[in-house]
Amino acid sequence: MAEQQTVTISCPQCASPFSFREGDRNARCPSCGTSLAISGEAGISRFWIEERIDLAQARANARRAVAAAGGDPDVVERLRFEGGELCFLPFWRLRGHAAGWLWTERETVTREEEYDENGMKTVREVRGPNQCATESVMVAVDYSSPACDVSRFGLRGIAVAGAVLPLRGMDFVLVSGRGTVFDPVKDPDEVRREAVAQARARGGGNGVIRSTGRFSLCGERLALISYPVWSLTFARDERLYPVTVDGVNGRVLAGRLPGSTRLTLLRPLLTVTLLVFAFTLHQLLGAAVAVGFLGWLAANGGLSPERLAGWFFALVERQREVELG
Amino acid sequence: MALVHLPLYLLTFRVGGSDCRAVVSAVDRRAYLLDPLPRSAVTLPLRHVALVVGYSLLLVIVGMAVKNHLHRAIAFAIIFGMAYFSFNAFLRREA
Repeated sequence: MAEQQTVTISCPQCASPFSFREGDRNARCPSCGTSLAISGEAGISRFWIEERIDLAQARANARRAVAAAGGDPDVVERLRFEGGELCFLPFWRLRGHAAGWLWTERETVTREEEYDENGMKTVREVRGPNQCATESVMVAVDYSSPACDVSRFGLRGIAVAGAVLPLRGMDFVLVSGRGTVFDPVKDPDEVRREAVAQARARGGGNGVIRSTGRFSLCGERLALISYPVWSLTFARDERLYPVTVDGVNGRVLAGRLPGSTRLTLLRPLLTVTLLVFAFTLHQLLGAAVAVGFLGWLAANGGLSPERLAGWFFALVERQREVELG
Repeated sequence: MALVHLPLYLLTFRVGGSDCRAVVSAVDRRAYLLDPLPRSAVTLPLRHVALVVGYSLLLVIVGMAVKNHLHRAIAFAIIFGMAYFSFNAFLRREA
């Protein structure tokens, strides 16, 4: 969890020192009253998006998602809720333009129509010589990328959410009081490289065989946005099942929950009954039945201590877990 | 030159009867397994083992006590039926 720090700088207007809290976006100089816009170390603004659903709604959404995914309603009903945590995941958002030049070599295809003596039309596609072209390109960039490993949360990007939802200036005291704030790990330069690579991949169009180019970002606005996600934990027996729910729209992002169970009582009880009955009839008959049973088991799937123990004592078979998201 | 201390959790747990260890980074929650997980494992609850063993012992006792084959078969069928329904109810409540 990020710790709040107090930073002291000199006012660029009157040069008197004044302090502000880390994460503040605006400050007023106490000496001259000048309003100052503050950005982070590399001129990066930090924002956060407020959660719109509470813990109870997130829990209900998770249970509904299991039922929708084909889970056993009885199993869902008996799931024990272990706890929930609101996590604010950091995402880089880069907006601006990628400008540069792009050299492409693309194939050309011409369609030739021919009519035979019966009037039937035949269309042939004929490949022409490859065309090379160099063009100046300017592509609008709106790129979003996780600033740390968020793979377990099932969230890949928040470009749309960052554009539509109201962003609040980061206040570490307020946000860390609501949940766990994850710190960014990815470097801003890496984000810039990814955004340029994405813009370059979009250039060219159809039929491109080879391409090369050089792009630079211009007019970039890089921001770090903390996005709310509920991390819930359900339990059944000794197993824990994590589920993550989007803190804004309540959509289940990722998780797994137990599948239905099947009782396999007939198999062990019938085997034991027949074996004991055979032994009570005659010991030799009992031994023959036991050997026959072991032989049948070996021929059908192999004989091992695990298989034997499972045959007699695994009375409850759990079906595959329900994967969400 | 700097000496950096990284916060890591060392966890020890059991999977299918095998002891396993894992390190979890307290910075970004990444987990690294130190010991490989067993490829296949069967976890048997002690309650289920006790149910089947108790059922078998009951059959052995009844089998030794009842000498007539037909009567023994009827007794086994009754015990089987009762055990099936009572175990079924018990396990369904437990599951």
